[in-house]
This record gives sequence, structure tokens and C-alpha cells, in this order.
Amino acid sequence: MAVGSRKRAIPYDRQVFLNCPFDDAYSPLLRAAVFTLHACGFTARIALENTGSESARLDRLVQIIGECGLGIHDLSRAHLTSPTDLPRFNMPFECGVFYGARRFGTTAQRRKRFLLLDKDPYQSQKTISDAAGLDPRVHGNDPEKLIACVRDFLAQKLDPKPIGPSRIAALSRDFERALPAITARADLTLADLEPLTAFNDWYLLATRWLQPQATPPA
Amino acid sequence: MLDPVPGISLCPACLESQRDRVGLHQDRSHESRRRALLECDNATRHITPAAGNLTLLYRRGPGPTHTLRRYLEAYRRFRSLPIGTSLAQECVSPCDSFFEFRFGEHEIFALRPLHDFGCPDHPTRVEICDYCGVSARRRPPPPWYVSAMVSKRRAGLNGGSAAKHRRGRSSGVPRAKMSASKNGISTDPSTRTRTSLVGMTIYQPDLQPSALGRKLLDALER
Repeated sequence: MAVGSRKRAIPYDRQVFLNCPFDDAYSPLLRAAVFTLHACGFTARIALENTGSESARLDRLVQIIGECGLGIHDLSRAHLTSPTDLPRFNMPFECGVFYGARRFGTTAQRRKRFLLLDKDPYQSQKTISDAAGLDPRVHGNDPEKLIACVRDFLAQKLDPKPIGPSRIAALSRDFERALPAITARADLTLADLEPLTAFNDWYLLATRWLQPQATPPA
Repeated sequence: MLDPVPGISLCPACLESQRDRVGLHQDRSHESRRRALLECDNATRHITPAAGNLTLLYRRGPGPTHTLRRYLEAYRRFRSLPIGTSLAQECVSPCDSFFEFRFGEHEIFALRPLHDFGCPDHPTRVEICDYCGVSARRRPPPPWYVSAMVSKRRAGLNGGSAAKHRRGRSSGVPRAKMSASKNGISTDPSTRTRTSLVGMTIYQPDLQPSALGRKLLDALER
């Protein structure tokens, strides 16, 4: 991927750094968040995107963070993970990098806005008490609640406001219903889109599917 | 001190020393007004009632400098004066027009005809000429006076007839009133919500599809 071309094509304030877990359990939430971002006129930047770069993973992340005016950080995965029985610190770490850019960066970087997400109310008070006052939104592992959280966050500075969360959820369901027919036409099955390695293809497909919805009828 | 303007006779009072300033709002008698006109200020020294239907509105404090600049610029253009002309001299013209000048850092002087359409800052004020005694009578505005120059305040107080020609809001309805309708649903355009995606920009991620992705995208196109 040519990062430079993305930067030119998509405004800084329309790029959203999506900092969330990448596991099978989180996949429906990840897809809901990406779908919502695009349905609201933004674009999602995630660590999974294939940058084609040989640089270190952290450098790529820092570059993505620098190119994004907004950030959504899901800090809900604070539990121990098998098989190591250790927690993963990627999300809080990347959240800290984002906050640091906002705090100490250039004028454009200081315009950054971000949203913290949690699974349960008051969870962050126990796991990351330094973030007190940042008021994380709670999604309860429900994609529709996540859609509402993300949409409301994006709508804050928009005029007109994007379509409502129920409309986005309905669009998302329409897309999921259309998927079997599309995969069948491609001689594939839905299971082929399940693995995390196929996420980018799902992502491209979802945004391409949304495109005609925004085209005025001839 | 400004040079005398040719053709305008100086009032003898101008030659007097500095006097206490008398605001017109305090005493509207002929003599007080005359004294106010002639109070010794660099700017007012050369504005005399000899010019005819002129009055000088004197106010203290910060004024509508934005509106003022537009008046001055419009008047300069109307008179085809070169940029940089000292309008402090122009203000003594026996005009049947309306313009304001600011002299000094914190003083606003409004020079305008009597029997005219009123001051934008005091739209309800009845104008009576202190010199000829003729009460207010509406005249057509001078050709350089364009409707856009009506101040926002005046337009709002006049029922919004001029406000509808302004950019932005369609009438003088206060913003708070516009934003809350009977059922509490906001009607303010600044809080409107889309009902569909039509017309929105859907950004496409800058990703390279895998072989599987290409097949899916082809299938979607079909």
C-alpha cells in the first residue's frame, strides 16, 4: 500500500485509527465498527492493513496513528489470555501512543479526538485508572451497541449528522444477508471469509457494497 | 489637528479651548447640540452645522467597527475617492447620506442626515432636526447605501425583512427559537441528520485484495 497516496486522497479528519483486539470473538464487533465508520463517511485504519512496508510493526502503527485525526480504542480485553495466562497490552499501549501524539504533537496532531470503549461499566476504573474522566462508552460485546457508540462519537463534529445507529445496523444486516449470494457467485463459502487473514477482503467488499447506497439514483 | 476643509466655514466655537464633552443623549436642546457638535476634538472641529441637514451623534465606548468600515468603504467608492483618502475631511460634505466615522481609539461619531431613515443602532429613535425643526420624514436612501449595509441589529428589530436577504438564516427568528420545535425535535439545520447514505462520500480503503478478495469483488460487480 502506498501510504502517501492514502494521505492525499482521504482527509486527516476522516481517518480513524481503530485500536481493538483481533481475535475471532471480537470479529463481529470489529466488522460492525468498520462498517459504521464507512457508513458515516470515514475510513478505518487498522493494524491489520497490509502496508507492504518492511518497517517494524510499531513504526507502521505510529505512522497510521500520525495519519489519523480520530481514534477508537477498545480497552475491553483486559483479561488473561490462553495459553500464556498473560494479559495483552497492545491496545493500552497504542492508546497511549495516540494520546501522546495528541498531547505533544504538532498542531494537526493536537486536533486528534478519541473514543474509549469498554465492555462493562466502570471496567476501566479498575484496569486503567489513569484514564479517569475520559468516560469510556460501554458496548457490552453487542455489535449494535458498538455501532451506536461509534456513530455518536463520529457525529459530534458533523453537520449534517450521519444516519442513525439503527439505520446503520439495518444496513449492516442487509450486507450480511447479501454476503452468501456474493460468495456463492465467487464459488466460495462464508467460511472462507471467517479467518482473520480474510478480513481485508471482507473490508474491501463491505465498502464496495456501500458505495452504490450513496450514489444518487439516475 | 486636521486641516480645514475648503468650502466649509468653521464655527467660531471651534476656536475655543477644550470643553467638557456633552453627549446628545443628555440634552437635546439646540445649544447643547451645538456645543456637542463643536466640542473640541480633532475630528469634530471642522464639522459645522453650516453644512445643513447634518447632525452628529456622539457616543462613547467601542462601536460597530465592522459596520463602520463598510459604510466608509461604500461612501469612498460612491464618491470615487482614491483609497487612502482622509474620510475625516469627507464627512463634512453637505450630504444627504448617512455615514459614520471613528476618530480616535474609543470614540464613534456618526454623521447622518436628519429626516432620514434612522440610525442602525437606534432604529426606533425619532429624528427631529434641531436646526430646521422638521420632524422625521423618510427619504429614499442614497444610491451608495445598499441593503446589505443594514446592520444585523436593525434588521432583526424591523421584523426580519432585511434579514432574509442575508446569508445564513432565512429570518430574524432567534436561534434558540429555531432550534426547538413544539415536540422538542430539533429543526435547526445545524443539527439535521441524514436519512440515507445518498450523497455521502464512502471512502474506499487503500488495500490490495488477495486472490480471494478479487473473486469476491468480481462477484459483487456481476
